[in-house]
Amino acid sequence: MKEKTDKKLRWFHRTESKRRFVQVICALLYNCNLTGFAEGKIYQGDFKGFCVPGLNCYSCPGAVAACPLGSLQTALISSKYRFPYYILGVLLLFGVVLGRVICGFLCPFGLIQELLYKIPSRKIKKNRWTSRLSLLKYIILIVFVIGIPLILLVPGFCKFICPAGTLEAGIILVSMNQSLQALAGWLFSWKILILLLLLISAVFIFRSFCRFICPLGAFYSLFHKTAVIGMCIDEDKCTGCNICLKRCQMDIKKVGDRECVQCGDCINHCPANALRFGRK
Amino acid sequence: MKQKKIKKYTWSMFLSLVVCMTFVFSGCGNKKASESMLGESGQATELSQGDQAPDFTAEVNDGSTFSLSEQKDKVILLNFWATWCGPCVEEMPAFEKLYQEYGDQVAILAVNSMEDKGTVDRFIEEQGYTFPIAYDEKGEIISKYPTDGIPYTLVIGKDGTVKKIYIGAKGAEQQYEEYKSAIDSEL
Repeated sequence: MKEKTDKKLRWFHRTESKRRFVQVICALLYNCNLTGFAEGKIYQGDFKGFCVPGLNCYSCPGAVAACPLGSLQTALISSKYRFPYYILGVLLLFGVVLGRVICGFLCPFGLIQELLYKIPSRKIKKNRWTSRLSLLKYIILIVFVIGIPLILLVPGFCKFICPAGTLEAGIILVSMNQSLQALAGWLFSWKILILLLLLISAVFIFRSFCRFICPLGAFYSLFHKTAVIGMCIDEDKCTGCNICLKRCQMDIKKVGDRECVQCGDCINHCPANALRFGRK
Repeated sequence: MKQKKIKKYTWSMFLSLVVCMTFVFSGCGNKKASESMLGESGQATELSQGDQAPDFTAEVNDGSTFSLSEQKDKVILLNFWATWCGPCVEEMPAFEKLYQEYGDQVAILAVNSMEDKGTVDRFIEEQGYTFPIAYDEKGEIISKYPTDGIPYTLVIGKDGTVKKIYIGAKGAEQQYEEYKSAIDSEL
């Protein structure tokens, strides 16, 4: 029995570290213009015309490609003059193929939050309130990512909320460029405040930004039933013990639902081996 | 033992990949910059006050051609913008007002940043602007005037040197005042 538990634990650590490995590779590949960090300059080459699947600020000095959420907002602003074929197509493609697997594996900001959650402290577990709060991200998607860019012609989420932009780009660029320091006003202070609140909350609440705020996750969650890759339940093996739901730190009601970031941690806790990660 | 070797191999492969990507991306920035403006890193350097404004030729929306070197003895107001850039669009009435006021005394040119002609034309038609707007679909002009952000506006003196640089904009009225005072001091 003990041997079986040990074996399972080893498997758990192996899958966990594999996922971490993919997350780290992604974060580095998204931001491999390392000279940009030294110079405080944004890479503006041809590759910037492409989008990465995860949330990674275009203006991060290391970023070699664009953020899909930022691209969507800017494309919506000028959609009157040019229909945003590319970004809508790419987002649909990412959603249909990977869905929220992107959140679990390919998002650098998700990685940062997971690492922060490792800091020993009292943790706030999921409850009725976190479950309700998880709906907030859909409101943010509709208001800040779609509504404000279309109506007020301003990239609402990037401008007023995005903590990834403040962390990866805002702080670095403003601290390294005098001309930008002159431009930084109340909005910059507001965004620093949002960033601090979210980073601190991530120490106590598992992936607080992803669960309550992230509109990109909200968009990808719409594909939870249709995504090609993700968590699968073998209904014949499932005994309905709900251990997977209890062990999961996200606000899921079922493995693979719209709140599931497809991290696969539940596979290791399922006593009936009814869960697997792969092609649905 | 074997597993350790595999792990070591994976890490070294991964590190080499990151190093390669770094070299690739640090080398493929804006290669179109004129040689005279190339900095030590091989990329065009950001302009400062007092620098000679790099020459360029652009296709203007009215069908004419704008050449910076042909604007001798004129103050030039050079702006870089895009239709998706909120602050750029917001400050455009300032250029229109200045164009109406100064006429041929000042050469005003708003260079669109890497959007296609159709997009720019639809924008101009809808907004009804009459000041000269240039196309830069391939980014050849903006590569000579590297900047981390737009709107990016320069006031170039009669001697062809950069007198004032503005990154960002605070609305049409305020920008109008700023540009007007900068132009007046150069006239």
